[in-house]
Amino acid sequence: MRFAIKDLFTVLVIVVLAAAVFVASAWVLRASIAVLVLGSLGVVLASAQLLIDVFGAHAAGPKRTPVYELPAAEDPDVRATVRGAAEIWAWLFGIVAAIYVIGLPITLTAFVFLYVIAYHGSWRVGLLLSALIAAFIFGVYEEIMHVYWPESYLGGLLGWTW
Amino acid sequence: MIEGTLHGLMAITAPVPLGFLCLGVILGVWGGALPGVGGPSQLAVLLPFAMLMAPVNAIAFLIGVTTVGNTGNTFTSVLVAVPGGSGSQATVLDGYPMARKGEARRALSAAFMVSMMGGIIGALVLFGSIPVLKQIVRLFGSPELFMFTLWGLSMIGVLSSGAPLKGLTAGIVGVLLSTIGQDVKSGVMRFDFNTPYLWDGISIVLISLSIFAMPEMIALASRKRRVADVTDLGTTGLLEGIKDGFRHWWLVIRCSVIGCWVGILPGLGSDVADWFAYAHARQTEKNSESFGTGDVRGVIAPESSNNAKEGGALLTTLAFGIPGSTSMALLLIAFVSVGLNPGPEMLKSQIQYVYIIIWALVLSQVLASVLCWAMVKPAARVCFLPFYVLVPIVIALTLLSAFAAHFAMADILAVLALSLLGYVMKLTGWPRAPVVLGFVLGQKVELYLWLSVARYDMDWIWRPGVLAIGLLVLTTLIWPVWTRWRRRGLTVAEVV
Repeated sequence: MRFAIKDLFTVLVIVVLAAAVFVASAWVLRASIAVLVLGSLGVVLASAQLLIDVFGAHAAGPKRTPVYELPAAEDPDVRATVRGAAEIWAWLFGIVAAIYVIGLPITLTAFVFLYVIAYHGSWRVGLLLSALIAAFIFGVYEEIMHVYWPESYLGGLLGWTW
Repeated sequence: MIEGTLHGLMAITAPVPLGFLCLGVILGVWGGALPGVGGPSQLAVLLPFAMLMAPVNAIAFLIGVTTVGNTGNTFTSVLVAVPGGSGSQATVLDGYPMARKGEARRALSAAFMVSMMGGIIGALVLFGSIPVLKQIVRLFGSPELFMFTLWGLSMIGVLSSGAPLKGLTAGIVGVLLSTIGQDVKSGVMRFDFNTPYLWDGISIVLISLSIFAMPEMIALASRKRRVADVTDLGTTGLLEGIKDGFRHWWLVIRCSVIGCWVGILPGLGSDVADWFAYAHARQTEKNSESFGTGDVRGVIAPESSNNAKEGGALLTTLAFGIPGSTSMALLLIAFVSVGLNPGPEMLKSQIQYVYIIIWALVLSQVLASVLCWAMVKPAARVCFLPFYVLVPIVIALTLLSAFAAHFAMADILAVLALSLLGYVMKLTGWPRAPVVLGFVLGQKVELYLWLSVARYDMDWIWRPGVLAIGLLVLTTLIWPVWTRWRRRGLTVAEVV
């Protein structure tokens, strides 16, 4: 028996599919039939996968990559990669928070500039790229598509409108 | 007929229509290359201008805009794993690995070559099948369409050969994601968690961006490297890509026919055509183990089908007045507003415009490919940009594209939540593409099944078309297991 951390995801898939089946059982049949049939099948398949992963013989030899998958990158420094992943997720959550505070157009323009600077890109490149994004937002989204931007917290406070 | 064809050619190659065609092609390629900008939203913006034009100019302009998006969106699919549109999702699977191997120029060049070939084949099919089309399409009702979508779903199992159980489960997750929102058959709100945003369901744009693009950008940002693992762009890629198109001519023809056929069937569209073609190539080509690792045939198959689809889609739009997609519906509106009368009547009294449309389709494919070839060299350099240039730009564009799905803040939250799913799937070795394929086909499977049962009860099962496609589904499922079993002498348990 060998339970790896990645098997937790399989457990999560089983739980989500089982929950979907449970929720769907309360609907009328014509709305629930697909979820009931496929969800149950999914629980069985994922459970079988979990059993194979945990109890099955782990054959040696080259790793088989699913055909429908992009080949995973070879990461020589796992610790650095994990740190990098944490950083980029922090950036993404930061973007969401900033969108609520200062609005989407300003956030994305600022994000591009700050990201370049944070990873030792030149100020000139940072300014150029953020100007490109700002031009794209203004030219396409504002002028051509006339997009209505969701109101930000500061925008509401200071009376900014886009 | 020959006289009409020549008149059509002369009309479209006059300076003014040709100018509008070129403008349309440039806008179409540009819209396709920028995720979230092209497709129906771009067409909707341009429609009012086209409605003021003379019929020939409007045809040239609109065909240019509508039919070349799938050529332009190859850029982002290959270079940064961002499907520029729904027709280039499968291109990511081999195009992006090719870019990482330093073969971006070859992948792009091959894609543009076969896009042109596929587009022309689509136009030829449009030209040749107008007289017989009526009878063929009438054979296809909801039961046959249900079986057709089921055939698409069966390909998940076949193609997830490295992890079949995970592939099938991922496909089911995709189907279940497609059930979110109001059920049109019963009015039941499914998995909406009392959130109005989910009543309309999740957009395919969000799914494809967050399952493919965001996880790849997150991985790139984590590694802090460039897209390409090599340092040299190479010098032969462009010519090699063109040669690849001719070398695999038989695959191009087969996938173009698949694309055409999918285009003819209302409601399926290019988001299915590329997957069908990819699956077909994977199943029928020799040495298919290299698919998914940067095999040029994995680029050729979807790219030839997604452009050929336009010919098929135009066929039903012009011959029956039935638009198979949102873009075709907008095109139909524009055609009607400039005085054309799409439908059976058009084939009688306005046949000259049909020939003009066919020539416009051919010329726009050629122009788009030439335009894209001219941009291959500078575009391929994207793979060598440092991560701190590429990552923020792609993430910003991805979030903007996601926002364009419903113009709601919840789009951003949804894309991040789904990106987490895509990223964890990538980390844990779960194939992600079946989620997208399951999502694309899920709604159609459910709808066509329900229509079949409502209209024919259970008698639909015995329709000849259903039985024929059912046989195809069975062959698709059994064939790879059979060949693996025979080739390697494995037991059935080992194969499964």
